[in-house]
Parts: sequence; structure tokens; C-alpha cells
Amino acid sequence: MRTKFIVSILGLLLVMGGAFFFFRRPLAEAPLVSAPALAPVAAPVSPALAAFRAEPPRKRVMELYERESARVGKVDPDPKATQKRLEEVARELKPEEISWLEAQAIDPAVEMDARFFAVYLMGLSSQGSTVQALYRVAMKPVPVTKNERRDSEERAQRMSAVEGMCTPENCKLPEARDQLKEIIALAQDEMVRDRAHRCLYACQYGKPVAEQDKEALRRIRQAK
Amino acid sequence: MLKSNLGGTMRALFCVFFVTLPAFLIFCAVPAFAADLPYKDGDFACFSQTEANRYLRDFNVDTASFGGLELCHSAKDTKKLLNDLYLIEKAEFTPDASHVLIRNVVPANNYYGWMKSQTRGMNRGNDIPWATAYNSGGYFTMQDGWAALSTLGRVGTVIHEARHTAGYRHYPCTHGPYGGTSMAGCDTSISQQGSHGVEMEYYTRVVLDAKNLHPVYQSMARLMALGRTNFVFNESPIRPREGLLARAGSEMVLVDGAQVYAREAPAAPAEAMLKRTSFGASLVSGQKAVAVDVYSPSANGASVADDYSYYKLFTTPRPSAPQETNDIEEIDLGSLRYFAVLGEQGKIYSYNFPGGGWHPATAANPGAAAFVTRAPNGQAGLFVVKNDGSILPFHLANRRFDSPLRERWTADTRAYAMNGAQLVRLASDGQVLDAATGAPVPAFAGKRVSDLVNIPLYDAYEIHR
Repeated sequence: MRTKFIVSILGLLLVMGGAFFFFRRPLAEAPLVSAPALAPVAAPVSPALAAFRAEPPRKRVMELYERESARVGKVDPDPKATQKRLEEVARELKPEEISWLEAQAIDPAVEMDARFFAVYLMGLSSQGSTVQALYRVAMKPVPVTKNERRDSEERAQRMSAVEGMCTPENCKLPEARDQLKEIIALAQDEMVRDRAHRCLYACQYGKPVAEQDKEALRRIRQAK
Repeated sequence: MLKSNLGGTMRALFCVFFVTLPAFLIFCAVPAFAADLPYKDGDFACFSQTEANRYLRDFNVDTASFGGLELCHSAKDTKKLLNDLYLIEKAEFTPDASHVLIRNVVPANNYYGWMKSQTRGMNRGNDIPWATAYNSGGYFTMQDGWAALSTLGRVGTVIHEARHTAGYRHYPCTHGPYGGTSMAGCDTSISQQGSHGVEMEYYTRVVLDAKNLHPVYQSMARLMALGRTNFVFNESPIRPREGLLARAGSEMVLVDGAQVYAREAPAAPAEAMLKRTSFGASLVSGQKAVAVDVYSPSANGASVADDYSYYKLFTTPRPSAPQETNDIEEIDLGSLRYFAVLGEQGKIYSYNFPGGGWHPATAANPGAAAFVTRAPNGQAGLFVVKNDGSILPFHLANRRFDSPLRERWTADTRAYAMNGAQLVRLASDGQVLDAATGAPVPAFAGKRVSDLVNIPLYDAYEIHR
């Protein structure tokens, strides 16, 4: 009961503080004399990103991973907002967090939604260390088992890792192109190699792989 | 100023009555029910008993066989099935009637109703462990393989199984993982509109038309659609096509179906030979290669070392490597890639990709002059042409020679290749001729061709004029 009271008082103080700011703001925004030019202001930080930044590294990515990967197989009322949110946090990933995501991505004991999510998030990160990690995921041999659907998913995950290597930012990294070429040379799976081809094409001509795929699908439509 | 102050006072009163007071009341109330609300996203996704019962009733689910009713934990199979059915019911798609993979077998806005109409019951078993699931008269049995899949894979499986109820069965596959086995795992074509067709229709809708599905789910669907469409139809709709590329001095001619494109040849040594590679073509001289970009009309005077493909293998010293490189070929046979070198004394070296090293060389093969990948009878593969004109097929899978072909390699022939369905021959005078009639091929009229190869062209690549 006493704890409840203290929490309530703290909450009240917080809200009153907010109200005070609310009260003060119009005066500051409506100066009577013309104000000098303002210094450039940093872009506003979204609540999701602010929350991510507030957490210690690694712990924050583990929490994000648990929370966001659980959303993959669910209805998403706003996929664009999700994409934006993921892009924001992916840009802030630190090398140790990328290593942790890589470990999740290649762990067969982890659910495939989550493994796919780990690769997807790394692909949004666009850093040299991510390219290395994605290369290692892409080069993991696609298993051949009796569960060929599962094998297809493993293949799709490798393909996704390749795609992560050819974001516009990664295309500027010489090591990304080199490693895409290595995948073309050395990967055993035809579809993984095909992804690397398309990625190199994306790097050279600027057409994203997803767009190339959609064109391929449209071309099939025209051919029929 | 007065107006401003009055506005400020009003705003303060507003804050006290409409912000602070309600907030205070809410703060007081929060601890009373906070303990009842989950805070993890996964926990928010629990089903109500009523909702779960509706799904289980609609699909006549044998709940006990799935491990009993489970409303919250997705690690349990019942919850996985409920997730799948929920997603099938709630996913929204923009109609797209014109796509070849979208035949509207399933109405875009009524997957749930369609599924219900095709399902007499669902249970969980593992009586056919090599299957992901099977449908017997409208009763689906989901195997262990189904439970091990991603959400997309499970949903795709359920939709796939539902199509079997209408009598659509599978046929032996002509290629892919089931190719060459007696197991019936493929549809004949997309137009059959069977189970694979319906599954691909779903994936394609997720890619192109979904309004409320997660970006990662959509990305998975795109890759699954491409990956599986490649082999689950015996008449595959997505497949790299074969182009024909010729070198004529500083120019190259690319024939892609009815289209003929001029290309600038990259700078390369005069003795370099045009070779097919996994990404297109290269000009090869010994162990050096220069990449040919067949998708772009101009090389812009550039000479790009081909470290795209197998030539990279030579950049790192490896045990048992060839001592000489008299000829070199990279071939994709089925889904496997092979890389072979005609080395000293006619020995053939091939690379063991999974093992990361060279296989032991074959025995010496005196008189071996060159590799070709198309025989005079049109047969594709790796062949060794000897100085006496005999042609020996070489099997890359077991690294053995077959009996010599009946045909012989004539001295006035440089290469054979396919121009669509037409077998063409490059004569030593630089003419490209129909191999059967000897008539010149119009695409190469007036050109003096030195090299001619078939190359892979990829569906999604645009060829720039």
C-alpha cells in the first residue's frame, strides 16, 4: 500500500513536470522579437531507437531480437513502420552484437523465424563487420535432409544473407563485392550463387535484388 | 502579450483538470492490474479460449494429437497450428488477377473460407517421417517436419495440403532434390494449378500484394517462391536461359532468343579464349581471365580481372593442383558445379568444392588437345578432343572417361553451340553455320568469329542495348 502511494506521488510529479513544459513551450515558440538563426538541430530520435540506445549493448539486441523476431509470423498492421524501426536500430548495431546475431543465425536449434530475422537485421546494418558475418552465414552449406522444406528454408536464409551484403551502402565496400564474388565461385548451392549474381548486378547497376525478383516474376507473367 | 498570458493560464487549468488529474488516477490504478498484463510481445499473442475453440472446431483439429490445448506458448504444436490459422484468416491482400503465379485458385480475400472448405480434419503424427504432411481424403496429418518449419513454411504447407483434397496429386520430379527418384513430389507445371501452384500463389501474394504481413515474412516468401518454383514444377517457369556469345575481333555478338546485341570486347591478350562461366563469360589466357559483362554494351575500355568465378581457385596455392593449364572449363550439371583443368600429359584435374581441394588427377591421356562442352551431335557435357579427332566424354561425377563418340572432330571446326534449338558450328574460317544444313546463321552475317560459346543469362537481369 505504501509502495503504491510512493509510485503514485512520483507519477504525479512526473506528469506535473510534463505539464509545466507544455505550459512553457508556446512562450518560447512565439518570441516578440525576431530570433537569431537557430543552430542545426539533430534529427528527432524515435521512441524505439531511444529505448534501444538506452540499454547496454548486447542486452539490448537480445531483447530486441526476442521481441521483434516473435512478430515475424504475425499480422503486422504497418509493415512500413516495422521496416523503418528495424532499419533504425540495425544501423546502431555494434560488432559484438553482430557476432551474437550471427551465432543465432547459424544455430539449427533456434527457430527459423528468429534465425531469418537475425540475418535480415544484419542485412539492414550496412557495416563491414556485418558483411563478414553475412558471408559466413551464406557460405554455410545448405543441408540435405529428408525434410526438404526445411532445407528450402535453410537455402532461403542463405539467400537472404547474400542479399544483405549488397545494400547500397555495402556495395561501396570493396570487401562486400569481393566476398560476393567468392560466393559465386565457391558456394555449392545454385540458388545461393544466383543471389550473389543478382547482388553484384545490384551493386553495378543499382537495381535492388528484390526489384529484380519482381521483374523476373513480371517477366514470367508476360511470357505466358 | 495579455492574450498570450491568458492562453497560458487556460492551458495550465486544462493541464490540471484534463491531464494531471486523470494521469494521477491512472497511476493509482495501474498497479492494481499491471500484474495481469503480459509485457513480452510473445505473451500478448495468447489466444482466447473462444477464439482457439473456433479454429479447432472449424478445422476439426485433433487437439490431443498436437499435444493438448495451448493458448500461449508457440513452442507447442497446438499453438503453432493456431498461429498458422490466425495468419491465414487475418492476412489481407490487394487483388492481382493478372499474375501467372496467381491463378485465383484461392480467392485472395478468403483463404480462411477456402481452407475450411477443403479440410475435413487435422491431426499430428509422424507415421511418414520423410513427408512434411500428408492429406488423406481431406484429413491432414502434420508430421515432425512441419513442426520444425518457420511460420511461413508451416502456413505454406497447410495451404499446399488443402489443395490435395480436390484430387490434385504429385508426379515424379524431372529435376531438383527429388529428380531421378521414384518419389512423386512435383507438379507437372504451374498451369496444372496443383498443390505447389497454390502454395506459390500464396507466396507470390505475400510478396506482391500483402497489406499487413511482416517485412521479414515477406522477404522469406520472396526467397521461398524463387527457390521452390525453381524445382517443384517439372516445367519450370524460372530458369536461367541460354544465350549465345561470339567474339569477332574487338566486338562481341550476343544472341538472346530473337534479340541480337553488339558488345564491346574487354581488353585481353590476343591468345585469350572465350569461355563460359557461372556468371556469363570470360576471356581466358592460361590461368588468367578477364570478365565479359554481357549485360552492358560497353566495357568502357576496362579490363576487369575475372575473380568472379573459378579462376579465383588459382590465386591460392592448393595441394595436388595442376602443373600446367592447357584448357579449363566450368560446368554446372544439374544443381552441381564442376571445374576441370586439362593439365600436363592430358591429365584431367577437377576441383572438389565440398572438400576444398583438388581431386587426384586422372591418368595421363596422350594426345589430349582441348576441352569442348558441346559435341558434334549436340550432346552437352565435358569432352576431350584428341589430336586424332577422337572425342572422349568425361564424367565429372565419377571422374572417368566414357567410350569415344562415333563422331569425330573435324579440322575445320572450332566449336559447336546451341542457338535456341538449332545446333550451330563455328568453322575455322570464322563463319557460324547451321550444323545440319551448313547455311550461315544470319545473326553473325559479315562477322569473322573466333570464339563461340553458350552462356547462362539470368531471368532477372536486364540486357542493356
